[in-house]
Amino acid sequence: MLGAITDYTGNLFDRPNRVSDWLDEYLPAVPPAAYLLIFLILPILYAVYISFFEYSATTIISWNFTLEHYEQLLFDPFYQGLLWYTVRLSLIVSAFCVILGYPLGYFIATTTPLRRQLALFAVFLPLMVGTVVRIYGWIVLFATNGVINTVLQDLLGFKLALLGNTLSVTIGLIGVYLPLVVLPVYSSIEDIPDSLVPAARNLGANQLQAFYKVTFRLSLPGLLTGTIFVFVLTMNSIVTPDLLGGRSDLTMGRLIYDSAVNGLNWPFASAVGTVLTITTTALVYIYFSFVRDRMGVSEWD
Amino acid sequence: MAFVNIQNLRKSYGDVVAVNDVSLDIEEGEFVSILGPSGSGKTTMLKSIAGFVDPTAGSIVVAGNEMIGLPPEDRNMGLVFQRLALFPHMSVFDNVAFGLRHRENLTEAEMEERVAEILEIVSLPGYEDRNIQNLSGGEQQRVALARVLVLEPDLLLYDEPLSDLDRQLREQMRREIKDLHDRLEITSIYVTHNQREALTLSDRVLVLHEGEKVRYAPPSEIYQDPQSKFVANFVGDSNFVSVTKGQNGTVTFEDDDISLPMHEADADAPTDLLYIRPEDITINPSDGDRVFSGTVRSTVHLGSVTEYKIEVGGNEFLTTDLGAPKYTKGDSVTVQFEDYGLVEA
Ligand SMILES: Nc1ncnc2c1ncn2[C@@H]1O[C@H](COP(=O)(O)OP(=O)(O)OP(=O)(O)O)[C@@H](O)[C@H]1O
Ligand SMILES: [Mg+2]
Repeated sequence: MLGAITDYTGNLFDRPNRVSDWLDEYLPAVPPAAYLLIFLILPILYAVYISFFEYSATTIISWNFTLEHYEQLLFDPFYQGLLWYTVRLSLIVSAFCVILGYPLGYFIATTTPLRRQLALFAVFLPLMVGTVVRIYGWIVLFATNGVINTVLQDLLGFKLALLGNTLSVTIGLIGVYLPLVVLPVYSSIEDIPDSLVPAARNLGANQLQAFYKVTFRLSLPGLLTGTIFVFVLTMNSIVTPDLLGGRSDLTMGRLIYDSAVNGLNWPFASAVGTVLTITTTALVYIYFSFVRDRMGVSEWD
Repeated sequence: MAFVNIQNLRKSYGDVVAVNDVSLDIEEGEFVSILGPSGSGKTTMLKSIAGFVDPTAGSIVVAGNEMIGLPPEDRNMGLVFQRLALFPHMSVFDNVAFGLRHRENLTEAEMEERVAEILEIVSLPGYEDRNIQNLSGGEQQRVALARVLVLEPDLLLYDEPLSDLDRQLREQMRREIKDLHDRLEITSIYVTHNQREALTLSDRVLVLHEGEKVRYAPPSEIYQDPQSKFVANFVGDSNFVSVTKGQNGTVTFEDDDISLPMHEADADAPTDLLYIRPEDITINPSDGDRVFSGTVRSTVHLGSVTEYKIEVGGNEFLTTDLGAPKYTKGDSVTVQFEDYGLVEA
């Protein structure tokens, strides 16, 4: 689409002044391109670059080329497990965000205006409160000596391990990221003209078929956007697993943080980051292609 | 029993009665319009027939089968929506084949044949692979028609399908709908608040007013004998004058000494409201009866006709005359009331 716009301005008049044409066309793109270059592309390239050098306890990076960080990450069962844990956690969190978020988004888009406003408010509200604040709130509630366990102990005489395990990490992440599926799903369903489902019914589709062929199909772009957000953010999550998880709930994000900030092993942290980014991109691409094939290509051209 | 038989159809939303005990018979192959102002219950009626609204009471029988209780997908009706409701994520082919896939068990080849055939009929041959979003308004309109026609429905339902189009395209599509109906003879119900569409397309017109059936008759009959003030005003324009009936078969304008001979048919009409169509008033006639003098109050040139307001006695009358304006404001003229009748207030 961007291509179409630039083509249009480029070919509208056949002016002789090529340099000014060129400037008109590309000058507006300079600030965003510079921004991306300085804040995204250069740091990533630099991180990838230093991941091929040895770590030194004194100078952090010693400039001797090595593949040892990657060997360790890809072949050491501990780090393999960690990558697998992160991927599995992200898949589970994304799946639950879809299972819970899609119906919620659908409900918000199709209910009465009053309920819609209340529900949207309820979905937005957590986004206004920082993640850390919210998680500390949960900790107060769910900790071993927290409110819930105190009540349980007093009434029934036992406690539950509500924190410090994979389940609490999973539930916490779902809670944090659910709005990121709900909102795009809601807005894409909201955009579907009211008469499309009746039209499908009139043409012989039953309720379920009409939902699948019209509503679901037209909300797929929203669902796709939402799940990609959740998946990428969970793959890179640090704070929630750190605060709600136990010692074994180590994600790639936590590993990067530990290596870079606590261990000052920048080359290794960079290698973890590279592996994480490549894995994330590859999985997102697979998912994207899968959904796109179900949608027909035209919408994404 | 008629092909479509609607008995005492009623739909209320809380205190609002959208459709109030309307009964209607439609013969097979007939084209019926539902005409009425905004909020008169036209869409509610159509949705009840199509199965998207549950009527509060009444029955709807089509081709011998009771429709009430059947889900929309099990009624063999084609519905053309005001905003067309084409599926934006599908090609023209998939839009047209949508119903075939659900309603009929066809092979891919048979389906292609049926789609090609119907696209030919709506003058879109070879449009199968086009993208819906890239079609013009008129082309989209034809796809919407093709999509329901391909199923050979018992009943075609239109909900103001032309109201979003510009005037020229609307006229053209109106003629095409008429042609299609003449060719395919599918029983049709056409909802509109445009009297011109209703009058030109239909075999019979149902006039609705606040959910109630006011009139159900062929267009010419409704036009020539509106019977009520509402119909006289809504179907075509009318001038209204309060009159008193004289003993000798005349009516006399209230506040005026103008008297006109009464039509025999109106002799027993329990009313004292006279209507006169603008086109039944002639300005400066060469001769004849029922001629009175008046003054031109305003002139509006509408292209092929000119509209005048002429004061005669204490009343102002709207009249039209072919061609460019011949009189201007303040001119003294004579007018002749050629035709008129009594209606219920
Ligand atoms: N779902 C609904 N809930 C409450 N009232 C409704 C509903 N649908 C229609 N009505 C009311 O019923 C009446 C008839 O509405 P309807 O849509 O049938 O009118 P219409 O003749 O189609 O009008 P228009 O020409 O504006 O489309 C209106 O007073 C409307 O407000
Ligand atoms: Mg309507």
